[in-house]
Amino acid sequence: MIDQQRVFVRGMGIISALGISAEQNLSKLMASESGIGTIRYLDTEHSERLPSGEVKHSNQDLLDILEIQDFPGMSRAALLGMIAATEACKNADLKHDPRLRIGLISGTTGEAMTSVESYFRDFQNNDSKNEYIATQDWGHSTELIAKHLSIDGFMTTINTACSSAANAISTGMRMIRNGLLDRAVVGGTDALSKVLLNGFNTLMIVDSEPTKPFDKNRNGMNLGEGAAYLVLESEAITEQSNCLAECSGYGIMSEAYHLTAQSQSGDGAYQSMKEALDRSGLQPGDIDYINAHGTATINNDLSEGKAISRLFKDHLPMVSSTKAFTGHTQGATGALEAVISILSLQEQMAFANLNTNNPMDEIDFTAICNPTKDSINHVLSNALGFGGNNTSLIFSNC
Amino acid sequence: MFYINGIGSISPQQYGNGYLEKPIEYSGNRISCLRPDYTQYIDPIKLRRMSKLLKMGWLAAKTSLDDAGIEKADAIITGTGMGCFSETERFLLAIYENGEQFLPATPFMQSAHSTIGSQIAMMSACNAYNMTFSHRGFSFETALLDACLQMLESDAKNILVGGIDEIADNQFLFQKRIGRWKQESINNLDLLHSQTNGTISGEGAAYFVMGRERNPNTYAQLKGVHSFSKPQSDEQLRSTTHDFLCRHQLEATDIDLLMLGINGDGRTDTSYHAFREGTFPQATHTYFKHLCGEYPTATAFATWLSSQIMKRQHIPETAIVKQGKKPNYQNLLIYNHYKNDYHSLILLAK
Repeated sequence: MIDQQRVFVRGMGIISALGISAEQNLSKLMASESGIGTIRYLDTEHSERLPSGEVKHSNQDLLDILEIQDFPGMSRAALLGMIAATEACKNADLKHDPRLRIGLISGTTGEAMTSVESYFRDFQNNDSKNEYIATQDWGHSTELIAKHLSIDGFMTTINTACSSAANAISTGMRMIRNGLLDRAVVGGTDALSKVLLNGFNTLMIVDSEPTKPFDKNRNGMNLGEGAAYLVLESEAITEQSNCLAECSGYGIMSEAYHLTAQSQSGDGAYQSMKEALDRSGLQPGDIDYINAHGTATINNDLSEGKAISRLFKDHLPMVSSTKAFTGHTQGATGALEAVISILSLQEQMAFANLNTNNPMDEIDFTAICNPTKDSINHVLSNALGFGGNNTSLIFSNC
Repeated sequence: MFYINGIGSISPQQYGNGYLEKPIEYSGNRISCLRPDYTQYIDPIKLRRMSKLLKMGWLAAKTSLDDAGIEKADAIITGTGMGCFSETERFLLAIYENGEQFLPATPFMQSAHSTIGSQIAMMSACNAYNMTFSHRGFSFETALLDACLQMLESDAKNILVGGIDEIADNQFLFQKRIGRWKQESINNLDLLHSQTNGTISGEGAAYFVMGRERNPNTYAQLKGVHSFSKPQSDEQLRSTTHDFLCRHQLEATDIDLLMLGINGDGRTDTSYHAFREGTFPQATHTYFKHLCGEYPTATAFATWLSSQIMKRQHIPETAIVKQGKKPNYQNLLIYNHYKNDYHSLILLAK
């Protein structure tokens, strides 16, 4: 065993249906204003019927914000990622030091979908979109973000469905803790795609009304899109006085119960949260706020709710899911909610679980309905994926 | 110290751990995995619901677990370049046919890359760390790195780590459109000497049980893995390799066996030839892509073959490019690049 480094968050950036930048997202969160609405930019038959958390800018707008020209192989997920990662690095005001080992670790689950669904017929029939053929994979957006940020060190992409970005964060933490990297830009990006919207809709877990996490009458998720990145640094190189938070723990547990569902008992989420607590040296009573995965599917909220009830028993912290603000941003969700968790530490405020009027009977807590000021030192964030790929992260004030 | 204590693979040549005394010949420019009778390995009820890739993954993983003499691992780590893309393709085609209504759920359920690892976890009842890396030609290398990280930081004893890819039918055609495959039809066993443009498409799955302890079944020690983007020159490639070997207290002359990712593409094989001739004149030079074809995680097949060679101290005739002077093989270096953009070195020791 080698000496493990503590890991700190130096910067963060986010783009979601709530807006561009941590500041815009925060103002909507504090005002309990949802970003869910009609789909404007994705070409789908469901645009009027399935409310979603689409980022309120066209691809051309996103290019303009980045001050770059359209280019062959451009993807919406990459543009979203470039915007969020640029904010994270700017916000961190990083020293340039060629001796530092810097990495980029990004999570995405839908990256290849947007180009394949837009150009599949061209790929089949003509040469007009050939430059997109080699971009239909999961590393594509990561590569473009790295190029945009001039990161040429370690680079990887994680695809564990809805826990992809949370796992990108945990992988960055682990690499820094064990001395493999000094600094890591970690997070994730996903754009809305016809494949994922229809896929979830086929599983009958997309609500045609605004989503109601942890409600007795919940009826599924609203899908969303967005990107968020953190800049992590080891204690050896960071300036702790300028840090936004400490990454104090992570837990990763595959439940191995079903390819897409979680067990009713919530054993997987229980284990990942417990592992995160153990690793951070914290007790259940130390957690002040849980930003739950809370997708508002029948299955997730029951399973996650039971796991929280069982693990935190007499020490139940404030719990909310912010999915009703942003929609379920697919592979990026763990990163968006990491940023929201850190905003919660900074503002000493837990954000509301919107649209929930009838608490569930099966669980021991009621998700908070209004933004609530309190002393918040430790926040736990869950990302629970397909196949019971569960990841829990803990962020603490530093 | 990290050891490879169990191996399992399915490729166009073999499944289970069959060796390669008589390589299978294919003509054309696409070679596919053998199709074993999966009912021998998987409950038929489960089998019906599993995609080809999930079957391949389970067979390789299960062979590896059996080989290591364990029921389940303490962590599962998968590298895959294209993952379950053929299921996405199926789902997309259904959208084209039906519009956005009445779509089949199964292809979507199996379209997330992590279902490969989840399926292995379910079938071996493994509630543990489970991770999936998907970054082109670095996917398997990063999985190996993560396995080492797991062994450094946790008390996990047995880590199951693998690389897996298939090529979807349409993807094969699309890649053909951009000149990825050879125009002419060739015999796979002639790949070394074919230096026209393009390569042959392949696929495969290989999983390994890794641990901190050597045991009687140990194949090799994994000394290190390093991935890097396209070197600017042969000189830079040499210095990167030199630095990598130095970190493991070795010099180029200590390498007894080179395993090279030569894929018959005249545009990019030059780097392998410069690499082998200049730096490793004494070593035996071998290659593997005529056996498995080209795919993002072909280095997993190379690692499987290399593990076999290290344990048996014998090289299948078909893999030899140039016989070296060394009587036995203490250190083996795999050098591969994917599309000349993703380069990697994997170092094994006896």
